[in-house]
Amino acid sequence: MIPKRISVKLFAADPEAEVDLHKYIRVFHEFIREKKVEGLLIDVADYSHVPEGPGVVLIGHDVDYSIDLNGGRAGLMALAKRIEGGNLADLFDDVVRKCLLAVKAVQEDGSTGMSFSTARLRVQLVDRLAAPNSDEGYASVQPEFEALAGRVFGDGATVERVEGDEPRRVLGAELCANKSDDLDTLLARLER
Amino acid sequence: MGAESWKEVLHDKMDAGWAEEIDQFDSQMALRKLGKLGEKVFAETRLRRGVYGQRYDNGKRHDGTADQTLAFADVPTKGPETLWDAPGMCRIKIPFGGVSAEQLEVLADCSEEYSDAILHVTTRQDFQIHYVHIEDTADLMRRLAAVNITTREACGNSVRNVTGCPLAGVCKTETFDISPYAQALMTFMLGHPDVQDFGRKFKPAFSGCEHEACGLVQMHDGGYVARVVDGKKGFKIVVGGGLGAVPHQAAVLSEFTPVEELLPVMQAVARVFARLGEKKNRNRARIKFLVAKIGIEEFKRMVEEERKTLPHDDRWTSLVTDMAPTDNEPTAPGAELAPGDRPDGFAAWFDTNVRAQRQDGYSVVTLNLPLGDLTADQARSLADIARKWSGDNMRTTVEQNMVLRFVSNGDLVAVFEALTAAGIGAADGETIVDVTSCPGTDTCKLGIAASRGLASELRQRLAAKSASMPAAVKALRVKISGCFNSCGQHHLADIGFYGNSRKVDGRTVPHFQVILGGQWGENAGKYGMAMGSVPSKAVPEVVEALTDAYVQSREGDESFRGFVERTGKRSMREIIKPFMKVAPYAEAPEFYSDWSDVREFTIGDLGIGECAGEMVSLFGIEVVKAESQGFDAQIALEEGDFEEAEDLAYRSMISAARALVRLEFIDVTETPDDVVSEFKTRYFDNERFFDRFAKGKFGQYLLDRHATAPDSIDRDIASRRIEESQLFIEAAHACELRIESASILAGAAEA
Ligand code: HEM
Ligand code: SF4
Repeated sequence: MIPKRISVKLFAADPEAEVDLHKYIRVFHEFIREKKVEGLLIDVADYSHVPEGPGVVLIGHDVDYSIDLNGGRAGLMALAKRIEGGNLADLFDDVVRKCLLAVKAVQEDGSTGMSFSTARLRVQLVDRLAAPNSDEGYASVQPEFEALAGRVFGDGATVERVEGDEPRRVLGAELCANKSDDLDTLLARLER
Repeated sequence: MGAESWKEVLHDKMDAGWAEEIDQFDSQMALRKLGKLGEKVFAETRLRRGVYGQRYDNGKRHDGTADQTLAFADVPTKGPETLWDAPGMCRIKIPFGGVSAEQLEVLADCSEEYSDAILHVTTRQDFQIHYVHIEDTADLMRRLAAVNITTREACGNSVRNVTGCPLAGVCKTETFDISPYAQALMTFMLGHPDVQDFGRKFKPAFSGCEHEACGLVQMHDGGYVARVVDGKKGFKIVVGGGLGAVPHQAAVLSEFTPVEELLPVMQAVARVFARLGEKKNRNRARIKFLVAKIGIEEFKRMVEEERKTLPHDDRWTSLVTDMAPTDNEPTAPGAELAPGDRPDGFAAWFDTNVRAQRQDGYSVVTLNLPLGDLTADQARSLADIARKWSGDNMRTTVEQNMVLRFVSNGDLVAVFEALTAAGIGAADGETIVDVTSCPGTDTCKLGIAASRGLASELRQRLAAKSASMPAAVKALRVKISGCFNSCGQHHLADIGFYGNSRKVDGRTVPHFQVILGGQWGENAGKYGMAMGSVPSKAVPEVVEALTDAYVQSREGDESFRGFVERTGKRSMREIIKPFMKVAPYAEAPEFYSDWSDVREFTIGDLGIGECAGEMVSLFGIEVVKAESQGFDAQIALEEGDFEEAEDLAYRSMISAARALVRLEFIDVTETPDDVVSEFKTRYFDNERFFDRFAKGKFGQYLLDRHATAPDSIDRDIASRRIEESQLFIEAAHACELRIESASILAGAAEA
């Protein structure tokens, strides 16, 4: 089963703290100009007026990056949009890598003042046809989530299903580390 | 989890006709990718299905320092200068704004899976989603079709969404509930042969009464105001209104048209509009120019003449009789709002967002959606709230909001709490805070200045002052368009703005033209007056100066328009004058970029708009059907379904012949016997279809196959038929070209 879209979100260190979204408008325009993150980058969409919305989105052709406020928990989300086949583990790794690299680029920029927690990732399969949010649907990808958690966070990582009681939402899980490694360590694990 | 497609999963849930059209669109996309369909024809086809272009889809973008090329893959374009892979916008038609909880859920799903999880309510009660990849559009259409929503004719030169008062059925001032009639007009006109050949778009609107604003009929191409005469229901019909760079007020076509004449009269209007447009050929115009040019009396006469010649259609009456009123059954009995403790913020919200219904004990609740946006999660919460407290039904509004109807007053506190928890409980609905804006430079190719960026800024600043604002100021409306095309309806606002630009200090500075004193009431009865342009970044101060002046010099309960008229243009201009100047770049660089943007401003990103649709002839549009049937025939052949392949090839010849016949006889049916017989007398027997070399050979293919269908069909027969059909379609194209150039030559000889 290969979904058409996969999203990966790394939460802010204090996900409930107020985020100054306007700072990201400048950062994302610069990312486009300097090609600082992967993908064919197109434009910046400002949804700062929407409560708990997509925040500010760096719109791309194959991947979007956003400072997402969904659920009242801020984080940086990468959304792979033009998936056409492949193997789920590789696709997961690729989106996680893109997300982590974008977080790294934001931290290197330094102007937003936002810091991230490297202990938790939310991964969602945004495709209600291929990946319905049902118990069977979850059961069939749970091993993939677990394997991914192991690849990113190493031993002792755990997986929690999200939105399991809301079939209208997309299928997903949060992967949690049992220790906090830095971004480079996580990225290095994925390189292997 | 299987590999099923939405097409299979939803097969039995879609209207069969709609499903077939969507399949056709799918094959047109395939044809275009193979380079077998011209880019203009494809653009027209896609626009007709609500699939719009979007900013930067020509692959160029200014990044603040230089023009950049966006490296999209090299596949065919989806229209002139419109790259295939570049994201686009989809407009989703919501007749009279009526949307159910189930429909809203599907819209939410689609926004997440094909867009950016944002649903946007437009100024004509539609939904839009942005950044959609064209290859996702067929599935998007299928999922919407399964809940009875279409994108067909949401763009392009056709009848656009039929709008109507969001309070229809519950309003205290209405004559009767217009919603069923709006639905009837939508059903009748959707895909109607007479609306396929417009030179421009046609926007209809219904209003339940004359004096309120909800229907805005005076600014529409066709407007219908509910009237009852001698106990009979009917409509006052107005035509030729419209905004744009030159706004027009509609003129009265009929003071009273009984309901059973509504559809035929509109059909006659459509025919006159299509024909007059075509006479001038390349110089077609919105109906407002036509009516202004020939006069309403002449237009009326032509419509009456046309009405007499229309072939009868049973749907004229069947669609408008025995109509159930659309007001949903309320879920709870009407009640009083109980006294007692109220949650924080309830009073302010109640003040601006709750309106008593005609039905005792019930209210309409307005959701003040910021810039018309709501998230997929919010849409799902709203669906739950609607199911629980308002009987499932909602409406979108032209102020880019949504309303819940039939909320029992006893439930208002609970509804407020639920809305607030979902992030859609903002107060100040339909006040100066609730700023309306078109897409502007965010996504529109024609945008000059950032209307949404400005709207967001104003909303935030005004909301902060809302509690201490004088009531007269709070009641004002601000509407913003990104350019003179007026999609944000700035002419109707007390304080309106449209984007333009000025050269200052050798650089381009984003500006907004200030338009004051538009009249929202009386169905958009009067348009505002232009006062001059101010830099984009000064607009918040301009709004403050204007509202302060109004509060200080207002006489009695004078309206803002009254104040503007009394003060006079010269003095009004004095108020905004101090803000017109732009300091040099070195002193105030912030003036040189727009709201919600940090790039130095440029108008280099402007593209070619797709507002009018591409100019493709009626033949061009019709023959596309033939081509996609031909394409499907080839697929069927490859899959070994020879009977289907042969039949599709035959039907593609019928479609191409019909395209030719319709050039002269618009009412020809789709029955093969009729089409072939008309084709034979009009094009074959007189040899107009013949070409110099093949003579009548290709035409004979159709006549022979129509006369005798083969008994058994094998691969050979199917392949041969496909070849014949391709030659026939080619010949039809050539025939149309000959006719077209003959008429141009004849025109040249006359001149
Ligand atoms: C030359 C091109 C265009 C013209 C003349 C034009 C004109 C208008 C006008 C006059 C209105 C609103 C008032 C009315 O209905 O009369 C309108 C509505 C609207 N336009 Fe445009 N427009 C153009 C192109 C575009 C483009 C390229 C976009 C964005 C992609 C756009 C987006 C909208 C939206 C969102 C609405 C609200 C309505 C709806 O649901 O139909 N327009 N347009
Ligand atoms: S008013 Fe101009 S900028 Fe705004 S949507 Fe219409 S065409 Fe685009």
